[in-house]
Amino acid sequence: MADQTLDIKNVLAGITRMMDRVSEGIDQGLNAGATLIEATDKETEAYHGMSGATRASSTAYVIGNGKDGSSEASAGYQAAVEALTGFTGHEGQALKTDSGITLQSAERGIILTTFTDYAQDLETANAGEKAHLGPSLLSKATVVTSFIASFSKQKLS
Amino acid sequence: MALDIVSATTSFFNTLATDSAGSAVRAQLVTYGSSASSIVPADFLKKYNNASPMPVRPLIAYRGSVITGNSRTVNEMFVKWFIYDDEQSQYYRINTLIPLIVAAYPENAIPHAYIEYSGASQEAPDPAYQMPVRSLTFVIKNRQ
Repeated sequence: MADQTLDIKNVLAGITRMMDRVSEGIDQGLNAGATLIEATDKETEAYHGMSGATRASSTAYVIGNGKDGSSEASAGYQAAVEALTGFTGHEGQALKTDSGITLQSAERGIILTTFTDYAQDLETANAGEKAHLGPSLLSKATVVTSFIASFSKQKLS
Repeated sequence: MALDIVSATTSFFNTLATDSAGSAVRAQLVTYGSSASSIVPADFLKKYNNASPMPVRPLIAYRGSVITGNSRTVNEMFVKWFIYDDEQSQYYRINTLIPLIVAAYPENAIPHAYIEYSGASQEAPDPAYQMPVRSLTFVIKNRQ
């Protein structure tokens, strides 16, 4: 019977490559998911809006694995500023605050938000009558999971 | 078997409003001076005014949220209970009701479906009513 040997360095290198590929797939899935969620929220009929600031500033972005979403957040905030500049229909203002979300080193996620000081009210008022951020996220959560699985599988094949 | 939106919604609401599974919630409402008549659909809240005051607090309001699936099958229904209380009571009674409501929905509470509790919102007042409120989100999933 022939001896069979296993080079543990090759095995570990292979596992590392596999993990890297899966990680790339996760990133791609999350990016595709964020695009889908943002598009869903921009098209929502949950509210009508007055200034257009909520819809214009609606932004979904990926955080974790080196991404903090700061550039996306700045762009979303700027969209709200532009929509509300000169608008007199209500007293709402553009607002950018820290999400308060802290991820562990291996965690990643998608944040969907808008950049106005009345965003929270929109989600809560009248028992969530005009809530849109939560519903937009929830409606695509399963799809995002499938994106991640699909891209990860693709990377491994 | 596909999830029936109407029967799932009715079952979910009635679990708290009338069924035995929600009896602990209703008993707690009575303890607080409220009753089962304070369990209402969310849009009912808008019809109350000075001439027709809101149900006694704490009150629990139901709102259906998004439904996922395709043209043939409903995969998931997201539903919410909003628990309101008077400003002077803040969140104590609301927080006491949360575990009772969650316990009323075991996984198999609705025929042909799975139910999952997916969490509560933060403590924040409803700006429309200036009342403390927290929402509880449940997912009703198609049992395939």
